[in-house]
Amino acid sequence: METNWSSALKDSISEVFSTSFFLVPESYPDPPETAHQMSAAGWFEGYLDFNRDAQTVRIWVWTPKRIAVELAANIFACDPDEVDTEQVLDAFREMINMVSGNLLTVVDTESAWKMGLPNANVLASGTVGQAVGAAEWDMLFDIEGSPIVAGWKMFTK
Amino acid sequence: MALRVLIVDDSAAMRAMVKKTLKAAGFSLESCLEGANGLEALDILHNNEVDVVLSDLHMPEMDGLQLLEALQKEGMVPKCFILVTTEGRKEKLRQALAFGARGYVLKPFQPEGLRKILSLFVGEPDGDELELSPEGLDF
Repeated sequence: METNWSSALKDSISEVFSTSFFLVPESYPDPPETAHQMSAAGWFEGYLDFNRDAQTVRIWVWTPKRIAVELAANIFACDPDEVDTEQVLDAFREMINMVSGNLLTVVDTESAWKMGLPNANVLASGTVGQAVGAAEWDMLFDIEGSPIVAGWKMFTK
Repeated sequence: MALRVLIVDDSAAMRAMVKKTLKAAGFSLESCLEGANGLEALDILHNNEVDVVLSDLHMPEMDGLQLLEALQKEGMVPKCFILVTTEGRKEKLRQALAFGARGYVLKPFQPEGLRKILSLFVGEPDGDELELSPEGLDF
């Protein structure tokens, strides 16, 4: 089951970023520790919960500001310096929403999971490793030299 | 034929993306109204005639299914009500079709996908399909 969610999340990120945002992520099979040591201040964090009975699965995506701004600029068809933070957060929520919906079609063929609404925020401090520590499983991608980190965790209420 | 379109999505980013993709698919727009949820869409539909509604399913306040249900009760589901959604599971989509949706496009989507389904209800677009790229369209 863990393999399903991890591989589906990885595939969904590749699909959504390349199809909708014109950014092609390259996946690292073994995440280098250097990404975890980077400062997370200014990074964008998006997450969404899936619920089934007492179980919740949360998925996250973290990117540096540059990538988040580029996502928004691609959607709004403008220069990166023309988008404001609210537009970037909106685009980030939509990215998480699309990644989640795409993932669910793979892992939830019986419609057992209820998909929540997407959330996004800007991290104020800490390292990427500290942010990613909330996830049980994580994975790293590279887009034109910038890292993207994703993760997920299943917990029972 | 230039279309009168209503795009319903709680994300302004997604409304922009749908509009951009419509143009990339070659459709001319006479008007393009936008609603952030089902309630806003209902209000718009009470006061405007549209040819096409492109609506998300998951939205706060009133979601796409509730919007369809409300429109069905009033006997005013537009002839071309298409869902543009991340919801790829058959059960939800079947419910939406039962309420009068004519089809769905799954996010992420391409101009070709929108063009195919809309052409069934409003005919082929006037313009050629354009390549969708960050720089390719100005709207």
